[in-house]
Amino acid sequence: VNIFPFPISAPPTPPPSRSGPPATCSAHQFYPRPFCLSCESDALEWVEAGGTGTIYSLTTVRLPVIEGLDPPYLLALVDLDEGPRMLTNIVAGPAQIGDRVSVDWRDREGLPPVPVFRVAEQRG
Amino acid sequence: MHHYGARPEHLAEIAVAARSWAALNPKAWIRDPLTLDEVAASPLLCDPLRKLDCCLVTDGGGAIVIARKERARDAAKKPVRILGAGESHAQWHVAQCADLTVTPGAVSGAEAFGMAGVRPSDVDVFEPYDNFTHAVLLYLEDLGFCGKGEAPAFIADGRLRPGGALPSMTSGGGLSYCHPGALGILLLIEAVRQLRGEAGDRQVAGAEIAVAHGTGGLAFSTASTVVLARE
Repeated sequence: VNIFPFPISAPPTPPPSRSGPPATCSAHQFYPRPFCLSCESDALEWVEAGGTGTIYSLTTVRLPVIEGLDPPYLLALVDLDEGPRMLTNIVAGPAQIGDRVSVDWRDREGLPPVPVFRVAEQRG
Repeated sequence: MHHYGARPEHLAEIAVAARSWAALNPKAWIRDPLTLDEVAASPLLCDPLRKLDCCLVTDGGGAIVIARKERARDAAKKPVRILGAGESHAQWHVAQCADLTVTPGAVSGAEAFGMAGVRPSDVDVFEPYDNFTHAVLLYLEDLGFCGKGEAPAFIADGRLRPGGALPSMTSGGGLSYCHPGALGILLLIEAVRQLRGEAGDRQVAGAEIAVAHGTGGLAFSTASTVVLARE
């Protein structure tokens, strides 16, 4: 199954020795790092994010940038409910800043799928 | 725009101001007159940025010589003093930017002005890294020329254009003069030319203090500000 990799601090593989103090905070971070940006502990866990968030910023890209991603398409910064902000695409617009979104997945040939989002609830 | 209500025409004013200066610079890449309506009619690339909100893609280069005051005294050209400088690095990836309305220029600008002992209101010439029109609005606010969200009102009445109260992008900038990717060196050179009185038709009369300000990295992850003064 798809795993949404939003660790409470993400250890690289294999995980480092846990020599430091145990995690003292519950901050989430993305992308994964070998230590916690908030409390500097290296006692890290992976968690699966809920896959929901809110659009912080949004644009429509109208020129070709990436092969296989034909314009126009929506590019967004999404604030995940766990805290981290993520650069992603919104599929099946329209969308606006403040809309609630939930994760979807874009399959890719020979590569892991990419998390994208679709609007779950328009800003009231 | 979402937070403070800036409009596309405020972005367009930056492009028109830069082009107005470029018309006075024989070395500028594009010197044709430009109107707000023409910017608004140019193709939309990534909302709200249109083609004419974006810098040129050109080659270019420059060099500067820096020396101690004593050494510079008998230089071939009249020296310009470096009053202050600041730099800042806030994040790398745009997704790590805590607030898209604030650039690292808020830190580099305060450092540079603090070291120089001058205020934004003392500046005669402003050379911002105009990679995109909206960036100049952010710089004006982050460097303290006006308050956050106030840049659209600040640039009204052609303040940045020739004859305006804060001549900016006086070479024509990255939008109309030259954007080699490393525009910062050209900002310093233009500031020096203005302070030496070598700017020809685009010369800002009596320019004594100039500020060159650049951002870089991925989008706006770093910033550098330099305050220069006529000797």
